[in-house]
Amino acid sequence: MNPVSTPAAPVVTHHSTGLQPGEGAPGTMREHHDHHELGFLRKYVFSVDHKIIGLQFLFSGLVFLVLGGLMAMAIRYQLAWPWKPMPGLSWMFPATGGAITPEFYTMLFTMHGTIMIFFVIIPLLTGAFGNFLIPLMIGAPDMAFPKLNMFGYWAMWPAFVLILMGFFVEGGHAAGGWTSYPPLSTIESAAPGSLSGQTYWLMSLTWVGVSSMMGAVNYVTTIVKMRAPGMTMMRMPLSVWGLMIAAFLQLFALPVLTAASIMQLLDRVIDTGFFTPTNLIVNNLTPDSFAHGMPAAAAGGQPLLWQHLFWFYSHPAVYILVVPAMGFTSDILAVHARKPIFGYKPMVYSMAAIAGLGFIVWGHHMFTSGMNPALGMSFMVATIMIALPSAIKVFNWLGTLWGGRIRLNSPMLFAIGFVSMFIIGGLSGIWMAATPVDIYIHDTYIVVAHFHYVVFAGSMFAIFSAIYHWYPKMFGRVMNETLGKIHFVGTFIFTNCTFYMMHQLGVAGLMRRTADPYAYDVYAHLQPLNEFITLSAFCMFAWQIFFVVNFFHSLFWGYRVGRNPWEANSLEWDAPSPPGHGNFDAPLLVHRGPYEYSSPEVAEDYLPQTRTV
Amino acid sequence: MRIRIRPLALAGLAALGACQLDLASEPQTPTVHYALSPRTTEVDAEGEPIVAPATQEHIAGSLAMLFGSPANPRFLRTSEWVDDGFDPNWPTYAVGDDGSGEFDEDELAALQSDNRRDFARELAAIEAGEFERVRIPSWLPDLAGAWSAHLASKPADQRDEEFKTEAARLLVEFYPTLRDSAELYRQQCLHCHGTEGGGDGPTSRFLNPRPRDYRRGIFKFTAQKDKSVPTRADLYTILDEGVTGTAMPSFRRFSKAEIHGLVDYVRLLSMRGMVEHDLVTTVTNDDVLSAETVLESYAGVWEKWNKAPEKWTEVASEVPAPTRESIERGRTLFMDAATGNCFSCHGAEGRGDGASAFTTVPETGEILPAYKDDWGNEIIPRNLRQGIFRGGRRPIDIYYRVKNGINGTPMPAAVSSMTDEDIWALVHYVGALSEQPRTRANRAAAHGANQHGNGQHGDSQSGDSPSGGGSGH
Amino acid sequence: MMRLIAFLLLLAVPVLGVWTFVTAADNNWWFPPAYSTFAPDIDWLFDFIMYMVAFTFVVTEVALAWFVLKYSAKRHDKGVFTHGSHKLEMIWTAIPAVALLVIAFTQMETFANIKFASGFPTQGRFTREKPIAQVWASQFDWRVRYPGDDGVLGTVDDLEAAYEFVVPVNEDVVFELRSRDVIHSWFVPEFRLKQDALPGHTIPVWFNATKEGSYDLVCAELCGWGHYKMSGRVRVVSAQEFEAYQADLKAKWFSNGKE
Repeated sequence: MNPVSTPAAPVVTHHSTGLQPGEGAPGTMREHHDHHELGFLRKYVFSVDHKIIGLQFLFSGLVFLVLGGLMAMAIRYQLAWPWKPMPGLSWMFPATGGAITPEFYTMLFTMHGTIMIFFVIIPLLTGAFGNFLIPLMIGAPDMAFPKLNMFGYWAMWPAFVLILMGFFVEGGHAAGGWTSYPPLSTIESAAPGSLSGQTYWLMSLTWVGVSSMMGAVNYVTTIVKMRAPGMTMMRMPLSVWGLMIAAFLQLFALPVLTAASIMQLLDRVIDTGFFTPTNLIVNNLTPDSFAHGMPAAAAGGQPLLWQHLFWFYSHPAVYILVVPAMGFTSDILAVHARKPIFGYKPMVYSMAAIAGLGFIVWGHHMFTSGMNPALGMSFMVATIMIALPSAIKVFNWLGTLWGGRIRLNSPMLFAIGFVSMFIIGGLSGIWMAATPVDIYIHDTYIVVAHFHYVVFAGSMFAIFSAIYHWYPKMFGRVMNETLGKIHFVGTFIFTNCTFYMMHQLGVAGLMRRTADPYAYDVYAHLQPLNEFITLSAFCMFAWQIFFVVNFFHSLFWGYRVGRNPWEANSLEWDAPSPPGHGNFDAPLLVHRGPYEYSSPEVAEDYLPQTRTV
Repeated sequence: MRIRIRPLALAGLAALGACQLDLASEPQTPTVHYALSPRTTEVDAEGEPIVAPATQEHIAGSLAMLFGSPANPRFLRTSEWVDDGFDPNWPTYAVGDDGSGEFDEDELAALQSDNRRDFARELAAIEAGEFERVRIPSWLPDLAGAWSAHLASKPADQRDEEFKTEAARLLVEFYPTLRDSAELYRQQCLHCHGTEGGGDGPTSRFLNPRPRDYRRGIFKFTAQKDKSVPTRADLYTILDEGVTGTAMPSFRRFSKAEIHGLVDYVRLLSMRGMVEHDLVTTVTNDDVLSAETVLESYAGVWEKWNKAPEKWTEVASEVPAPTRESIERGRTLFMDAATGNCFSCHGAEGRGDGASAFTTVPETGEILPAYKDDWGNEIIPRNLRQGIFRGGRRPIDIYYRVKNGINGTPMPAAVSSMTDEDIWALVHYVGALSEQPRTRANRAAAHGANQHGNGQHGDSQSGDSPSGGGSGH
Repeated sequence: MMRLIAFLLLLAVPVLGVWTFVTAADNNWWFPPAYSTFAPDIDWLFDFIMYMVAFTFVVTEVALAWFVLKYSAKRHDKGVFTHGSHKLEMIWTAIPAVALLVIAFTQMETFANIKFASGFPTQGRFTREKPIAQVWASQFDWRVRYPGDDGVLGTVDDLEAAYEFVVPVNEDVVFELRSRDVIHSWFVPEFRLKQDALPGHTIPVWFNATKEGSYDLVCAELCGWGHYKMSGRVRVVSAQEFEAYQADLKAKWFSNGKE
């Protein structure tokens, strides 16, 4: 019935990694290629194959990760040694002897945030792994709409071009923060980055929105309509659940951001004044009476409107950044702990609850904004209650590890790292949610620590973990374990040195987005701590060389592995590594859920979803 | 297979370690250099320099001799000054070795008490004997040098009370040297005002109005008459209070001594620019620049600054309170083409839209500012209804503007036929333009409209604001 | 070997994490002193959450580290085959739910006191109807307008001061916060008080400073390239000094330029 996944001979497993020796992968590849051969362009560039599209998202995401990371290093450099010559950038600032200018600093953190969120984490999680994993995990030959899928990736290219072009316009790129609150972002004279950089920013983000929208429609349709026989919703791996929930979040929240950014674009281009109040005097100009020497429409808009619209998208967006990561972690923990996931249904429900609650908590970004404070109360209760499903997930992950046979290989280390870091990020969120405490810590470094724990130490660890875990499926080779472990140890140490200490900065009241805080008496003593954080951040950034070397080295010289190197259950391991066009070489019938590890029914400690017993 | 990776990993680790060691030391302060002003390096239509390159070099050399460099700014002591025992360099010039400086005893005491506040954390550490906790700000290199010299003077186990007193005295009696002030200027001012104080730093492109160019010795908001250079008090006020309505903030977060230091350094930059301007206008057609010419110009510029206090506008009378009559009289003068003639630029309603301040491009119908200021920027008259007065909103500030005009701009000094009383009447009228006198009742009404967000009042969003009156009248 | 390293790394997180917070005050990485009436409340709520969070943090992180050390692939043939426990799920849903609701409800009173209209002082010299001053934020400075002799803001006799906001000690102070251009935020760390200044809105803010002194006022909302230099000060003085300051300000305002 299912000849592929039944081993012909007893399998010898390497104990510490769980890796099986190769099964002669070249042979398995050939049988899928006999129907048609595509040219290079159709196969690797304008491909409609979900796997290639996934890899395209992966590589462009990693390129932008380097760019965003370099910006982070520049930010850290300025914070440790304000107004000293910036290594690598000093040629841009001859007039100051190589020290960056304050407007450049505002641009740096704005673009660091924008690029990391919209061009790295979202594309990596939903674009790269969403595309790669969904059809494979549900046993589909491809996405429901392969051409739409291709278009989804190519819609990112206008976004890439626009976001990069923005760096070269007069005044530099957008500098109103990644949140781009008006009127700072809408009035040209308010900031150098608002001259035209902000327009590029808005156009770019609109294209990202278009891309994500197409992806989300595709994911939901594929998951709902194209599951293999026997694959009920409750037999889906949690990764698929996470990706589907993230897709729903995008479907419902993204239109709001797209509408809001178009409104802001109109404010900027034809002075509609949605977000611009009357009687402003910005940089010696009154924007509502004269813009570019031309009488403009009377304003009378509301800056708070943007905040509501923006956070109505961007709060759910932070769950887009973390819910798929939770799914990956759940899968990887179960595989490498050789145990069923603890409480599958509560895991699904808690992800759904996080997403659902995510829609009614946006106001917690606005406790001090001048919004009616009475609203703060309900937003606070809803926000604090998000900690509940998060806590349930953490307990279930612990439950999964309990009594397992944990293989501490690179994917598992990063997955455990995710759990450890997510606990910190999740718990510090309670401070943000508590309205009176937030009055103090709002816009301080506690917030920075919190979201970097969730998005870097959380989502990014999950991405590393997922890359190590699914790399064999992507390229038919496995990444080097030694380098992987070195990568984990250093990243884990320096991540904590960097971000944990930011809690202390925040408690001391240090605000975000400040180019040079040390001229304030109340912050002067924080410079040594910032230097420490900066050195840790440099170490962390430099440490990623082990990942880069490993990634490219393994691409050509890694061990070849067979279909199921980790002895995992879910459907993607039934396909050849890497899967050919159409993914599976035999019809699939799913008999059970994906987490039947250490089942007493069979001798091995895993039981693939397709195997008959 | 596995072993192949290990040397790679070890090499990577070693490289990382080397990088970190390199980064762990604090980076060097950047070096900037004084450049010649565009006026000196100007080229004619053929692209030939107007001032011969050799002369340009000579000017640059002379300026370096007179004023040093940004890393080591100092005034040249002429031989006469050496004979007189006069040192023009700060802090000696300002504080004096023997109380002979610019500050009197009260002012010195105020500086010291502000130093105590500013260095409170450090003084407490000294008191507790924890000298390693003393942090000298990064913008005071000379003080940092003096501090480490003091620390080095005695080993840690021999530091007695005297050592402590001496350490505290360093901080309490601190007054910045020109080098300290140049570093503070580099960190806080340079990105707008430029290395030479030309108002051309990298951020200046985005600012409206443009940052001040000190090189001409023209400062807009002073209490000086006859377009004189400013006094220390004028410059101090600008740094202390900022210039409202512009990107120039108040710098009072720095101590009084530090702000005075910045004033000193701005004066140096301004003098340097003035000498350069002098030289380039006298030697345009002459390749020879003699030492006498340079020193003469140097002395002349010093004289102007030394004489600044004599050009202070003294106001004999007390500031009169506005009355209905004085405001009415101000309005008459404002509209009178012979005396005040304010309306021609500031507009009949004071909105800065007077006819003579603008020209219309015949082809396009575009309305452009008619005037430029002395720095060549287009300039429009102040909208007096916004309540934004860059030189200050106090009656006396507006009095100075009306009486002396604004140096460097088309705003002229009051004609000689205007009496003090006339000027005060104008001040009252201008005050009344920006500040609609309100009763408690109509203020409450405006407040109510604001609360309910309806648009019945044209200016409901800013009904009680200084910027009120911008619309709906 | 890797197992031991992973265990130590994971264990270091709660150990060093807690140690960092315990020693933070000694290292001067902790709250600035609390000098307003509600600042101790906010600190208490922060600590309250911190203790609850710290408990969860330590328990979960230690459990994680312990599981990683204990459940190795070598020591067992197979993992424990379990799909979960309904009872456990109920326990670890119910207990955190109660704890979180407790946290949520303990916050409410303080927030209402600080930000709600009902929390504003009605007695005393300064109320919402009669604020002590209007604080104007603009790129990149703070300016304060006191109502002057007539006690009404927005009239000719208003007094204006740059940079420094002087208030009396131990007295409820209400002021109006306004912005001329973009969004700014009024933040004094020692008072634990932050409020955005929204262009087009007049936002009333109140506090009661409990110690005389001069405190940094910082802008806590990105307001442009000069955000980092948008500083001010709040100087808290005795009631007499406040009167004297007002008199000084008035004298300076109407001075004829002579000292």
